[in-house]
Amino acid sequence: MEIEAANGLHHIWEWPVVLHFVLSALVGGLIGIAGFSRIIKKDKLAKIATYTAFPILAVDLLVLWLDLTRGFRAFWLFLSFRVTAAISWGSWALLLTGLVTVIFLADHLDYIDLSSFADNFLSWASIILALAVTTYTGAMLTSSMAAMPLVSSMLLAPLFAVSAVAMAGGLLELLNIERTVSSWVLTIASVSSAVLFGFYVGELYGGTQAVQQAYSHLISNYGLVWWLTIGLGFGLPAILGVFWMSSQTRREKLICCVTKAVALFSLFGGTGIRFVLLMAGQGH
Amino acid sequence: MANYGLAVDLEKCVGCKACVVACKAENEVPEGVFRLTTHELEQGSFPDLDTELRHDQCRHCENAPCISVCPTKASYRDEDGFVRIDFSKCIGCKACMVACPYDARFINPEGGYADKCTYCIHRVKEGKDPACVNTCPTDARIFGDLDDPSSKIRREISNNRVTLPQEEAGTNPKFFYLNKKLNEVKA
Repeated sequence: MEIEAANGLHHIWEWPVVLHFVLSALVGGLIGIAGFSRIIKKDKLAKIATYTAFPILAVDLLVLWLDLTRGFRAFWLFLSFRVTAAISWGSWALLLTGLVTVIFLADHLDYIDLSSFADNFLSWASIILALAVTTYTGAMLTSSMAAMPLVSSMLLAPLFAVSAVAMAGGLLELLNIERTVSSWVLTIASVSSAVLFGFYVGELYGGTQAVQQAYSHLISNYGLVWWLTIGLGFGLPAILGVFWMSSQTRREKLICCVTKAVALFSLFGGTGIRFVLLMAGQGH
Repeated sequence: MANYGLAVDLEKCVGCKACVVACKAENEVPEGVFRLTTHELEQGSFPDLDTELRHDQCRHCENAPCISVCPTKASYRDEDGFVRIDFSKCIGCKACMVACPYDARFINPEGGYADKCTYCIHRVKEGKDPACVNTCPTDARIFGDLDDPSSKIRREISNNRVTLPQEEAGTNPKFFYLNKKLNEVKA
Protein backbone atom coordinates (compact mmCIF):
# COMPACT_ATOMS: atom_id res chain seq x y z
CA MET A 1 0.00 0.00 0.00
CA GLU A 2 1.09 3.51 -0.75
CA ILE A 3 1.09 4.73 2.85
CA GLU A 4 3.12 1.73 3.97
CA ALA A 5 5.73 2.40 1.33
CA ALA A 6 5.73 6.13 2.11
CA ASN A 7 5.99 5.84 5.86
CA GLY A 8 8.06 2.64 5.88
CA LEU A 9 5.64 0.80 8.15
CA HIS A 10 6.10 -2.82 7.10
CA HIS A 11 8.07 -3.60 10.24
CA ILE A 12 7.95 -0.90 12.85
CA TRP A 13 9.84 -2.87 15.50
CA GLU A 14 12.95 -4.33 13.90
CA TRP A 15 15.82 -6.57 15.08
CA PRO A 16 16.86 -4.37 18.06
CA VAL A 17 13.47 -5.08 19.65
CA VAL A 18 13.82 -8.81 18.90
CA LEU A 19 17.25 -8.65 20.56
CA HIS A 20 15.74 -6.82 23.53
CA PHE A 21 13.05 -9.50 23.86
CA VAL A 22 15.71 -12.24 23.92
CA LEU A 23 18.13 -10.44 26.25
CA SER A 24 15.42 -9.35 28.68
CA ALA A 25 14.14 -12.94 28.77
CA LEU A 26 17.64 -14.11 29.69
CA VAL A 27 18.06 -11.38 32.31
CA GLY A 28 14.66 -12.10 33.86
CA GLY A 29 15.26 -15.84 33.90
CA LEU A 30 18.80 -15.48 35.30
CA ILE A 31 17.85 -13.06 38.05
CA GLY A 32 14.89 -15.26 39.00
CA ILE A 33 17.18 -18.29 39.20
CA ALA A 34 19.70 -16.21 41.19
CA GLY A 35 17.00 -15.25 43.73
CA PHE A 36 15.70 -18.82 43.94
CA SER A 37 19.24 -20.17 44.38
CA ARG A 38 19.91 -17.72 47.23
CA ILE A 39 16.75 -18.93 48.97
CA ILE A 40 17.76 -22.60 48.70
CA LYS A 41 21.36 -21.68 49.59
CA LYS A 42 22.98 -22.70 46.30
CA ASP A 43 25.49 -19.87 46.42
CA LYS A 44 27.62 -20.93 43.45
CA LEU A 45 24.65 -21.02 41.12
CA ALA A 46 23.36 -17.69 42.48
CA LYS A 47 26.77 -16.13 41.91
CA ILE A 48 27.14 -17.38 38.32
CA ALA A 49 23.54 -16.39 37.48
CA THR A 50 24.17 -12.87 38.81
CA TYR A 51 27.53 -12.53 37.05
CA THR A 52 25.91 -13.65 33.79
CA ALA A 53 22.82 -11.45 34.18
CA PHE A 54 24.77 -8.22 34.73
CA PRO A 55 26.54 -7.86 31.33
CA ILE A 56 23.46 -9.13 29.49
CA LEU A 57 21.33 -6.51 31.23
CA ALA A 58 23.85 -3.79 30.37
CA VAL A 59 23.81 -4.77 26.67
CA ASP A 60 20.01 -5.08 26.74
CA LEU A 61 19.49 -1.58 28.12
CA LEU A 62 21.96 -0.15 25.63
CA VAL A 63 20.18 -1.83 22.70
CA LEU A 64 16.82 -0.64 23.97
CA TRP A 65 18.06 2.91 24.43
CA LEU A 66 19.68 3.01 20.99
CA ASP A 67 16.40 1.87 19.41
CA LEU A 68 14.55 4.90 20.77
CA THR A 69 14.46 7.68 18.22
CA ARG A 70 14.58 10.19 21.10
CA GLY A 71 16.76 8.39 23.60
CA PHE A 72 17.67 11.52 25.55
CA ARG A 73 14.04 11.89 26.59
CA ALA A 74 13.93 8.37 28.07
CA PHE A 75 13.62 9.94 31.55
CA TRP A 76 9.93 10.47 30.74
CA LEU A 77 9.48 6.74 31.22
CA PHE A 78 10.04 7.33 34.93
CA LEU A 79 8.21 10.65 35.25
CA SER A 80 4.97 9.50 33.58
CA PHE A 81 3.45 6.14 34.34
CA ARG A 82 0.55 4.77 32.32
CA VAL A 83 -1.08 1.76 33.97
CA THR A 84 -2.32 0.32 30.66
CA ALA A 85 1.09 0.55 28.96
CA ALA A 86 3.21 -2.61 29.26
CA ILE A 87 6.33 -0.54 28.51
CA SER A 88 5.70 1.56 31.64
CA TRP A 89 5.68 -1.59 33.79
CA GLY A 90 8.62 -3.04 31.86
CA SER A 91 10.84 0.02 32.23
CA TRP A 92 10.31 0.12 36.02
CA ALA A 93 10.82 -3.65 36.26
CA LEU A 94 14.09 -3.39 34.29
CA LEU A 95 15.28 -0.47 36.43
CA LEU A 96 14.58 -2.31 39.70
CA THR A 97 16.07 -5.53 38.28
CA GLY A 98 19.22 -3.59 37.49
CA LEU A 99 19.30 -2.28 41.05
CA VAL A 100 18.84 -5.75 42.59
CA THR A 101 21.48 -7.21 40.23
CA VAL A 102 24.00 -4.56 41.29
CA ILE A 103 23.26 -5.25 44.99
CA PHE A 104 23.67 -9.03 44.45
CA LEU A 105 26.89 -8.36 42.55
CA ALA A 106 28.23 -6.14 45.34
CA ASP A 107 27.33 -8.85 47.85
CA HIS A 108 29.12 -11.56 45.86
CA LEU A 109 32.18 -9.32 45.47
CA ASP A 110 32.12 -8.61 49.24
CA TYR A 111 31.65 -4.86 48.85
CA ILE A 112 28.57 -5.09 51.07
CA ASP A 113 27.32 -7.57 53.62
CA LEU A 114 23.58 -8.16 53.37
CA SER A 115 21.68 -8.97 56.56
CA SER A 116 19.64 -12.17 56.39
CA PHE A 117 16.43 -10.11 56.29
CA ALA A 118 17.70 -7.99 53.38
CA ASP A 119 19.01 -11.08 51.61
CA ASN A 120 15.67 -12.85 51.96
CA PHE A 121 13.69 -9.76 50.93
CA LEU A 122 15.82 -9.12 47.85
CA SER A 123 15.78 -12.79 46.83
CA TRP A 124 11.98 -12.86 46.83
CA ALA A 125 11.88 -9.42 45.19
CA SER A 126 14.15 -10.70 42.42
CA ILE A 127 11.73 -13.56 41.69
CA ILE A 128 8.81 -11.11 41.44
CA LEU A 129 10.87 -8.77 39.25
CA ALA A 130 11.89 -11.73 37.08
CA LEU A 131 8.21 -12.46 36.57
CA ALA A 132 7.58 -8.84 35.57
CA VAL A 133 10.57 -8.63 33.20
CA THR A 134 9.79 -11.93 31.48
CA THR A 135 6.04 -11.35 31.09
CA TYR A 136 6.04 -7.70 30.07
CA THR A 137 7.30 -8.33 26.54
CA GLY A 138 4.42 -10.75 25.95
CA ALA A 139 1.96 -8.27 27.47
CA MET A 140 3.46 -5.56 25.25
CA LEU A 141 2.58 -7.58 22.16
CA THR A 142 -0.83 -8.61 23.44
CA SER A 143 -1.79 -5.00 24.20
CA SER A 144 -1.37 -4.24 20.48
CA MET A 145 -3.91 -6.93 19.63
CA ALA A 146 -6.11 -4.84 17.33
CA ALA A 147 -3.16 -4.33 15.02
CA MET A 148 -1.49 -7.71 15.67
CA PRO A 149 -4.13 -10.48 15.97
CA LEU A 150 -1.41 -13.14 15.88
CA VAL A 151 -0.35 -12.18 19.40
CA SER A 152 -3.80 -11.50 20.84
CA SER A 153 -3.62 -14.44 23.25
CA MET A 154 -3.39 -14.01 27.01
CA LEU A 155 -1.22 -17.16 26.98
CA LEU A 156 1.64 -15.21 25.44
CA ALA A 157 2.84 -13.55 28.67
CA PRO A 158 3.05 -16.81 30.69
CA LEU A 159 4.58 -18.58 27.67
CA PHE A 160 7.28 -15.91 27.44
CA ALA A 161 7.91 -16.20 31.20
CA VAL A 162 8.33 -19.99 31.22
CA SER A 163 10.42 -20.01 28.06
CA ALA A 164 12.62 -17.27 29.59
CA VAL A 165 13.36 -19.56 32.55
CA ALA A 166 14.17 -22.38 30.09
CA MET A 167 16.50 -20.04 28.17
CA ALA A 168 18.27 -18.87 31.32
CA GLY A 169 18.54 -22.44 32.61
CA GLY A 170 19.92 -23.44 29.22
CA LEU A 171 22.55 -20.74 29.30
CA LEU A 172 23.65 -21.75 32.80
CA GLU A 173 23.74 -25.39 31.73
CA LEU A 174 25.98 -24.51 28.79
CA LEU A 175 28.23 -22.61 31.21
CA ASN A 176 28.55 -25.99 32.97
CA ILE A 177 27.90 -25.16 36.60
CA GLU A 178 26.19 -27.05 39.44
CA ARG A 179 24.28 -29.42 37.20
CA THR A 180 21.80 -30.74 39.78
CA VAL A 181 19.90 -27.48 40.08
CA SER A 182 20.36 -25.81 36.70
CA SER A 183 19.54 -28.94 34.70
CA TRP A 184 16.36 -29.55 36.72
CA VAL A 185 15.28 -25.92 36.29
CA LEU A 186 16.05 -26.19 32.59
CA THR A 187 14.23 -29.47 32.12
CA ILE A 188 11.08 -28.54 34.03
CA ALA A 189 10.92 -25.15 32.27
CA SER A 190 11.44 -26.75 28.84
CA VAL A 191 8.65 -29.26 29.35
CA SER A 192 6.32 -26.56 30.75
CA SER A 193 7.06 -24.14 27.91
CA ALA A 194 6.39 -26.90 25.33
CA VAL A 195 3.01 -27.60 26.96
CA LEU A 196 2.12 -23.88 27.02
CA PHE A 197 3.35 -23.46 23.46
CA GLY A 198 1.06 -26.32 22.42
CA PHE A 199 -1.91 -24.51 23.95
CA TYR A 200 -0.86 -21.31 22.18
CA VAL A 201 -0.63 -23.00 18.78
CA GLY A 202 -4.05 -24.53 19.47
CA GLU A 203 -5.44 -21.02 19.97
CA LEU A 204 -4.02 -19.94 16.61
CA TYR A 205 -5.88 -22.75 14.86
CA GLY A 206 -9.15 -22.06 16.67
CA GLY A 207 -8.99 -18.25 16.75
CA THR A 208 -11.03 -15.58 15.03
CA GLN A 209 -10.86 -14.97 11.30
CA ALA A 210 -8.31 -12.19 11.88
CA VAL A 211 -6.09 -14.56 13.91
CA GLN A 212 -6.35 -17.27 11.26
CA GLN A 213 -5.46 -14.77 8.51
CA ALA A 214 -2.44 -13.64 10.51
CA TYR A 215 -1.46 -17.26 11.13
CA SER A 216 -1.62 -18.09 7.42
CA HIS A 217 0.62 -15.06 6.79
CA LEU A 218 3.07 -16.41 9.37
CA ILE A 219 3.12 -19.84 7.72
CA SER A 220 3.61 -18.42 4.25
CA ASN A 221 6.36 -15.95 5.12
CA TYR A 222 8.09 -17.35 8.19
CA GLY A 223 7.12 -21.03 7.76
CA LEU A 224 10.62 -22.49 7.99
CA VAL A 225 11.59 -20.59 11.17
CA TRP A 226 8.17 -21.31 12.68
CA TRP A 227 8.31 -25.09 12.12
CA LEU A 228 11.94 -25.22 13.26
CA THR A 229 10.92 -23.31 16.39
CA ILE A 230 8.09 -25.76 17.06
CA GLY A 231 10.14 -28.87 16.32
CA LEU A 232 13.63 -28.09 17.56
CA GLY A 233 12.89 -25.27 20.00
CA PHE A 234 9.94 -26.71 21.90
CA GLY A 235 9.18 -30.30 20.82
CA LEU A 236 12.66 -31.80 21.04
CA PRO A 237 13.65 -30.24 24.40
CA ALA A 238 10.37 -31.47 25.90
CA ILE A 239 10.90 -35.04 24.60
CA LEU A 240 14.54 -35.07 25.76
CA GLY A 241 13.51 -33.51 29.08
CA VAL A 242 10.93 -36.20 29.76
CA PHE A 243 13.49 -38.83 28.73
CA TRP A 244 16.05 -37.37 31.15
CA MET A 245 13.60 -37.09 34.05
CA SER A 246 12.31 -40.63 33.65
CA SER A 247 15.68 -42.18 32.92
CA GLN A 248 17.39 -44.30 35.57
CA THR A 249 20.70 -44.17 33.77
CA ARG A 250 23.86 -43.33 35.67
CA ARG A 251 25.89 -42.79 32.53
CA GLU A 252 27.20 -39.33 33.20
CA LYS A 253 28.25 -38.71 29.60
CA LEU A 254 24.77 -39.48 28.24
CA ILE A 255 23.08 -37.27 30.85
CA CYS A 256 25.51 -34.49 30.01
CA CYS A 257 24.82 -34.77 26.26
CA VAL A 258 21.05 -34.77 26.75
CA THR A 259 21.02 -31.73 29.05
CA LYS A 260 23.38 -29.83 26.76
CA ALA A 261 21.07 -30.58 23.82
CA VAL A 262 18.01 -29.46 25.81
CA ALA A 263 19.89 -26.29 26.77
CA LEU A 264 20.83 -25.44 23.21
CA PHE A 265 17.41 -26.17 21.76
CA SER A 266 15.64 -24.22 24.52
CA LEU A 267 17.75 -21.16 23.73
CA PHE A 268 16.90 -21.61 20.06
CA GLY A 269 13.18 -22.04 20.80
CA GLY A 270 12.98 -18.97 23.05
CA THR A 271 14.77 -16.85 20.47
CA GLY A 272 12.75 -18.28 17.56
CA ILE A 273 9.33 -17.66 19.06
CA ARG A 274 10.19 -14.07 19.97
CA PHE A 275 11.59 -13.38 16.52
CA VAL A 276 8.80 -14.95 14.54
CA LEU A 277 5.89 -13.55 16.57
CA LEU A 278 7.30 -10.04 16.60
CA MET A 279 8.17 -9.94 12.92
CA ALA A 280 5.19 -11.90 11.53
CA GLY A 281 2.80 -10.19 13.95
CA GLN A 282 3.53 -6.80 12.41
CA GLY A 283 3.75 -7.94 8.83
CA HIS A 284 0.18 -8.78 7.86
CA MET B 1 -16.93 20.75 23.97
CA ALA B 2 -17.42 19.42 20.49
CA ASN B 3 -17.05 15.87 19.24
CA TYR B 4 -15.35 16.28 15.89
CA GLY B 5 -15.32 13.68 13.16
CA LEU B 6 -14.55 13.37 9.47
CA ALA B 7 -16.40 11.59 6.67
CA VAL B 8 -15.28 10.84 3.13
CA ASP B 9 -17.91 10.33 0.44
CA LEU B 10 -16.26 7.75 -1.81
CA GLU B 11 -18.75 8.33 -4.61
CA LYS B 12 -17.66 11.97 -4.82
CA CYS B 13 -13.93 11.35 -4.39
CA VAL B 14 -12.16 11.55 -7.76
CA GLY B 15 -8.69 10.70 -6.47
CA CYS B 16 -7.07 14.04 -7.32
CA LYS B 17 -5.00 13.89 -4.11
CA ALA B 18 -5.45 17.61 -3.47
CA CYS B 19 -6.17 16.67 0.16
CA VAL B 20 -2.77 14.94 0.42
CA VAL B 21 -0.96 17.98 -0.98
CA ALA B 22 -2.93 20.45 1.17
CA CYS B 23 -2.17 18.44 4.33
CA LYS B 24 1.51 18.29 3.48
CA ALA B 25 1.74 22.03 2.82
CA GLU B 26 -0.43 23.17 5.73
CA ASN B 27 1.39 21.08 8.33
CA GLU B 28 4.87 21.33 6.80
CA VAL B 29 5.22 17.55 6.85
CA PRO B 30 8.82 16.55 6.00
CA GLU B 31 9.76 14.92 2.75
CA GLY B 32 9.15 11.19 2.48
CA VAL B 33 6.35 10.89 5.05
CA PHE B 34 2.65 11.79 5.04
CA ARG B 35 -0.06 12.52 7.59
CA LEU B 36 -2.70 11.74 4.99
CA THR B 37 -2.48 9.66 1.89
CA THR B 38 -4.73 7.61 -0.36
CA HIS B 39 -4.50 4.24 -2.02
CA GLU B 40 -6.53 2.75 -4.77
CA LEU B 41 -8.46 -0.47 -4.40
CA GLU B 42 -9.04 -2.52 -7.55
CA GLN B 43 -11.40 -5.44 -7.77
CA GLY B 44 -12.61 -7.73 -10.52
CA SER B 45 -11.13 -8.32 -13.95
CA PHE B 46 -11.68 -6.64 -17.30
CA PRO B 47 -14.34 -5.72 -18.35
CA ASP B 48 -16.00 -6.01 -14.89
CA LEU B 49 -13.42 -3.92 -13.12
CA ASP B 50 -14.12 -1.54 -10.26
CA THR B 51 -11.89 0.85 -8.38
CA GLU B 52 -12.31 2.93 -5.26
CA LEU B 53 -10.08 5.16 -3.17
CA ARG B 54 -9.19 4.64 0.47
CA HIS B 55 -7.98 7.48 2.66
CA ASP B 56 -5.27 6.66 5.20
CA GLN B 57 -4.92 8.98 8.17
CA CYS B 58 -5.49 9.10 11.92
CA ARG B 59 -9.10 8.24 12.77
CA HIS B 60 -9.05 9.94 16.23
CA CYS B 61 -10.63 6.79 17.63
CA GLU B 62 -12.77 6.89 20.77
CA ASN B 63 -11.08 3.72 21.97
CA ALA B 64 -7.61 4.65 20.72
CA PRO B 65 -5.05 1.86 21.31
CA CYS B 66 -2.21 4.31 20.63
CA ILE B 67 -3.12 6.19 23.83
CA SER B 68 -3.33 3.16 26.09
CA VAL B 69 0.07 1.76 25.01
CA CYS B 70 2.00 5.04 25.27
CA PRO B 71 4.27 4.70 28.31
CA THR B 72 5.02 8.42 28.75
CA LYS B 73 1.50 9.79 28.22
CA ALA B 74 2.78 11.66 25.16
CA SER B 75 -0.32 10.39 23.31
CA TYR B 76 -3.49 11.73 24.86
CA ARG B 77 -7.02 12.88 24.08
CA ASP B 78 -7.85 16.55 24.44
CA GLU B 79 -11.12 18.11 25.60
CA ASP B 80 -12.51 18.14 22.04
CA GLY B 81 -11.85 14.44 21.52
CA PHE B 82 -8.81 14.88 19.27
CA VAL B 83 -6.08 12.29 19.74
CA ARG B 84 -2.94 14.37 20.14
CA ILE B 85 0.78 13.92 20.72
CA ASP B 86 2.86 15.94 23.16
CA PHE B 87 6.07 15.91 21.12
CA SER B 88 8.18 16.95 24.12
CA LYS B 89 7.22 13.73 25.96
CA CYS B 90 7.58 11.34 23.02
CA ILE B 91 10.63 9.07 23.37
CA GLY B 92 10.18 7.34 19.99
CA CYS B 93 9.51 3.81 21.30
CA LYS B 94 7.05 3.25 18.40
CA ALA B 95 4.53 1.36 20.56
CA CYS B 96 1.74 3.63 19.28
CA MET B 97 2.70 2.86 15.68
CA VAL B 98 2.53 -0.87 16.32
CA ALA B 99 -0.80 -0.55 18.16
CA CYS B 100 -2.53 1.54 15.46
CA PRO B 101 -4.54 -0.78 13.19
CA TYR B 102 -4.66 1.95 10.50
CA ASP B 103 -0.89 2.50 10.16
CA ALA B 104 -1.65 6.18 10.63
CA ARG B 105 1.46 7.12 12.56
CA PHE B 106 5.07 7.54 11.52
CA ILE B 107 8.32 8.80 12.98
CA ASN B 108 8.94 12.38 11.96
CA PRO B 109 12.39 12.23 10.35
CA GLU B 110 13.25 15.78 11.46
CA GLY B 111 12.20 15.54 15.11
CA GLY B 112 12.38 11.80 15.81
CA TYR B 113 8.93 11.85 17.46
CA ALA B 114 5.75 10.00 16.49
CA ASP B 115 3.61 12.12 14.19
CA LYS B 116 0.17 11.89 12.58
CA CYS B 117 -2.89 13.81 11.39
CA THR B 118 -4.30 16.29 13.91
CA TYR B 119 -7.48 17.11 11.95
CA CYS B 120 -5.66 20.48 11.58
CA ILE B 121 -6.52 21.41 15.15
CA HIS B 122 -4.87 24.83 14.76
CA ARG B 123 -7.37 25.67 11.99
CA VAL B 124 -10.34 24.12 13.77
CA LYS B 125 -9.65 26.29 16.84
CA GLU B 126 -9.95 29.32 14.54
CA GLY B 127 -13.33 28.09 13.26
CA LYS B 128 -11.94 26.82 9.93
CA ASP B 129 -12.15 23.38 8.38
CA PRO B 130 -9.04 21.16 8.17
CA ALA B 131 -6.88 21.91 5.11
CA CYS B 132 -7.84 18.64 3.36
CA VAL B 133 -11.55 19.44 3.72
CA ASN B 134 -11.10 23.03 2.67
CA THR B 135 -9.25 22.10 -0.51
CA CYS B 136 -11.40 19.16 -1.71
CA PRO B 137 -12.85 20.21 -5.11
CA THR B 138 -15.82 17.80 -4.97
CA ASP B 139 -16.74 18.27 -1.29
CA ALA B 140 -16.04 14.60 -0.74
CA ARG B 141 -14.48 15.31 2.66
CA ILE B 142 -16.85 16.54 5.36
CA PHE B 143 -15.76 17.67 8.82
CA GLY B 144 -17.83 18.74 11.79
CA ASP B 145 -19.29 18.17 15.22
CA LEU B 146 -20.84 14.70 15.43
CA ASP B 147 -22.94 15.77 18.43
CA ASP B 148 -24.51 18.75 16.62
CA PRO B 149 -27.74 17.61 14.87
CA SER B 150 -27.59 20.58 12.48
CA SER B 151 -24.02 19.93 11.32
CA LYS B 152 -23.38 18.83 7.73
CA ILE B 153 -21.51 15.72 8.81
CA ARG B 154 -24.50 14.55 10.88
CA ARG B 155 -26.85 15.11 7.94
CA GLU B 156 -24.56 13.29 5.50
CA ILE B 157 -24.12 10.38 7.91
CA SER B 158 -27.91 10.14 8.32
CA ASN B 159 -28.62 10.34 4.58
CA ASN B 160 -25.93 8.00 3.22
CA ARG B 161 -24.64 4.48 3.58
CA VAL B 162 -21.97 4.65 6.28
CA THR B 163 -19.05 2.29 6.88
CA LEU B 164 -16.41 2.42 9.58
CA PRO B 165 -12.91 1.50 8.40
CA GLN B 166 -11.77 -1.81 9.90
CA GLU B 167 -14.71 -1.94 12.28
CA GLU B 168 -13.53 -5.30 13.64
CA ALA B 169 -10.59 -3.57 15.33
CA GLY B 170 -13.09 -2.18 17.85
CA THR B 171 -11.49 1.24 18.11
CA ASN B 172 -14.64 3.29 17.36
CA PRO B 173 -13.00 5.61 14.83
CA LYS B 174 -14.37 9.11 14.31
CA PHE B 175 -13.81 8.71 10.59
CA PHE B 176 -16.48 7.40 8.26
CA TYR B 177 -16.72 6.26 4.67
CA LEU B 178 -19.92 7.21 2.88
CA ASN B 179 -21.26 5.13 -0.02
CA LYS B 180 -18.45 2.59 0.00
CA LYS B 181 -18.84 -0.10 -2.69
CA LEU B 182 -15.82 -2.35 -2.38
CA ASN B 183 -14.67 -4.39 0.59
CA GLU B 184 -11.00 -4.83 1.37
CA VAL B 185 -9.93 -8.36 0.54
CA LYS B 186 -6.82 -9.42 2.37
CA ALA B 187 -4.39 -11.68 0.52
